[in-house]
Amino acid sequence: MTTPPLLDVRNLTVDFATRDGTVHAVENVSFQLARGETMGLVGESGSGKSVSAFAVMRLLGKSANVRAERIDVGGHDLLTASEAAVDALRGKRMTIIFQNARSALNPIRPIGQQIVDVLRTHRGMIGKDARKAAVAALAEVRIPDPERRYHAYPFELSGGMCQRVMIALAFASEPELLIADEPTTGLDVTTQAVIMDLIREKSSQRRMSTILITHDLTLAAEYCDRFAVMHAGHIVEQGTTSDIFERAAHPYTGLLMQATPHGASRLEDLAAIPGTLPDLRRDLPPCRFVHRCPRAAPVCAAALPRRALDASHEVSCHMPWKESA
Amino acid sequence: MTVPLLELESLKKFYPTGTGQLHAVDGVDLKIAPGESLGLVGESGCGKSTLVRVLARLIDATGGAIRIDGQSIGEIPARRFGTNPHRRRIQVVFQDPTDSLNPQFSIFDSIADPLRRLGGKKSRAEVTEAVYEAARITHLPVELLSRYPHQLSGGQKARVGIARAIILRPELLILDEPTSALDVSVQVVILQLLGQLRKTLGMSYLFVSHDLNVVKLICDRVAVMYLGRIIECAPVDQIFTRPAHPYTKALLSAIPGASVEGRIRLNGEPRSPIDPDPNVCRFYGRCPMGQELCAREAPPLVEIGAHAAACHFRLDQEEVLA
Repeated sequence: MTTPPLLDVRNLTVDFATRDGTVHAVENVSFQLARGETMGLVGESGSGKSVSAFAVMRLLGKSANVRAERIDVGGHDLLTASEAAVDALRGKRMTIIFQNARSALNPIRPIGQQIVDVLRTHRGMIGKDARKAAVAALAEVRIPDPERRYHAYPFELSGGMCQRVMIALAFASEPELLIADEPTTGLDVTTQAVIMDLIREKSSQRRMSTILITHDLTLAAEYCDRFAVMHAGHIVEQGTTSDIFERAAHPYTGLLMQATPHGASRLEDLAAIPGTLPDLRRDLPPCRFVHRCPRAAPVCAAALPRRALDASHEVSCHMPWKESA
Repeated sequence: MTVPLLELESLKKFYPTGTGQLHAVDGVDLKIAPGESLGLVGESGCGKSTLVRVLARLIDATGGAIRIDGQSIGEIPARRFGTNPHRRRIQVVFQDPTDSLNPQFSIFDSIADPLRRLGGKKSRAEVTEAVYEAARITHLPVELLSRYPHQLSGGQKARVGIARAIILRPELLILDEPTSALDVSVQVVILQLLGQLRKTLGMSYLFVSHDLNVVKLICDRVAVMYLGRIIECAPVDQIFTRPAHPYTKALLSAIPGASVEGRIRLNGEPRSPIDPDPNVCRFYGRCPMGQELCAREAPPLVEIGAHAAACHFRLDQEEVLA
């Protein structure tokens, strides 16, 4: 990348102190995101996708111990920034769409007012202007009858409608970085398609960079330029969508794809991934997939390499399926 | 089709609300043959779950008939059906494996419960043997039987839900989104288990899901439901390759990665299910093909061969008319 990336995360590590010991939730995670790019952060539950994203937004609580070499958004160093400085960026330069929209919205405030709050805080709009802009924002995410819905409370709207309001809120401050954390989980496929189209349309209009957190590989494949695959707190592989789908190098990526039902597959063709996620409170081997891995070899006990297969494609594995040329 | 295992005839379930009757299930006709796996798909709020609950006789229907092997069970009140001999022929695997297990029951007791209630007089040794057998065929490790739900993983709980549903060897297993709470790697194992159980035990499935890719893997036929009605029902290949109803096509277009020719994106909200106008097609207003006729006359479910659809302008009819 010649121009500096919008988001630059280097060696992010997150531990949580719990009563039952320290949970090593995320370890040495690095990724960059260019302007206007959409990256899918995929993996099963417990793989550390949301924790990584929350760490970038500085949304983790006191029990989290976050360390990194660098977390940089649009030239702002988030690692050393004061809480006030992060506050000024959060919601404005970078924003997040949460998984469960209904519980993320304020239940006792009309949705229009909630958008006005964002416009006032981040864009200094007040009075009639703010109100008009809020109605326009609702119309933009295709909420029917926005004038009337301005006064609606979240409980009066369907799940899909609430998710649209979340998107309207996220876009109201015209952010540069959008993190969408499972934005369509729990929605119907038809609604999911409309919501994802909406996110794609808005982010390409504004050259926004988007991180799409999802466990759904086929969904991510349709909407992302690039992928990072996570397993047990590590990014095991990252690359462009075709790198991942046509030239998967990490055994976990390959297995994950074989487990995903897609148009052509038959029940017999799907294969389960052996074993379960390791207990993240224990002493973990360098490769956290080694106990589940069909290609595990003695060399896997050595420190985990980060191999560049080509300019866009990187894998953390001693025994990748495809060696670099 | 010979005598269907299960037959529904204009089944209705209405709920009274402040502003009128909510037509959750509104005249559903459906047949499931012995050993057949029927998929039921549709968006949330379309009445899938209400239909399942009426079928399992957990609630009473407002009207219509439910027949199992030709014998009517629709008029038996839900509270008395619990002790009816037909009860054991229909079992349900519920959506959320965590919420549907009693947290105070050991896994053994959860699996044994249906047998103790409906299995007639059984000695303790017989119950134990049946539970071990159910655990064996669902690949549930025996050492888990003495544990409690909170000590199990999601995939293990899903197996418990299946084990207790099959312990009575039902003829019809209703699966209400059995894998929607699971990760893909676990989902595969459960789906393969279900595929295998159907072969070995010869059960019929009613597989309720919103994931069409999963339905395709496990079902012979698919029924598509929209606002309380079945709007299309056909063998699984035909649904995927030649959908007849515009709504079905919209559902297929919405599958991520689907390459559907002329894909349809649905905007707007469904019509109100409260006292719907019987003369207007349920999909009117959201349908890209809607015409004046659709607001005047609701299309009936018409069977052409094995392919039934309720639409005035069936998408698969161009070649038939030409």
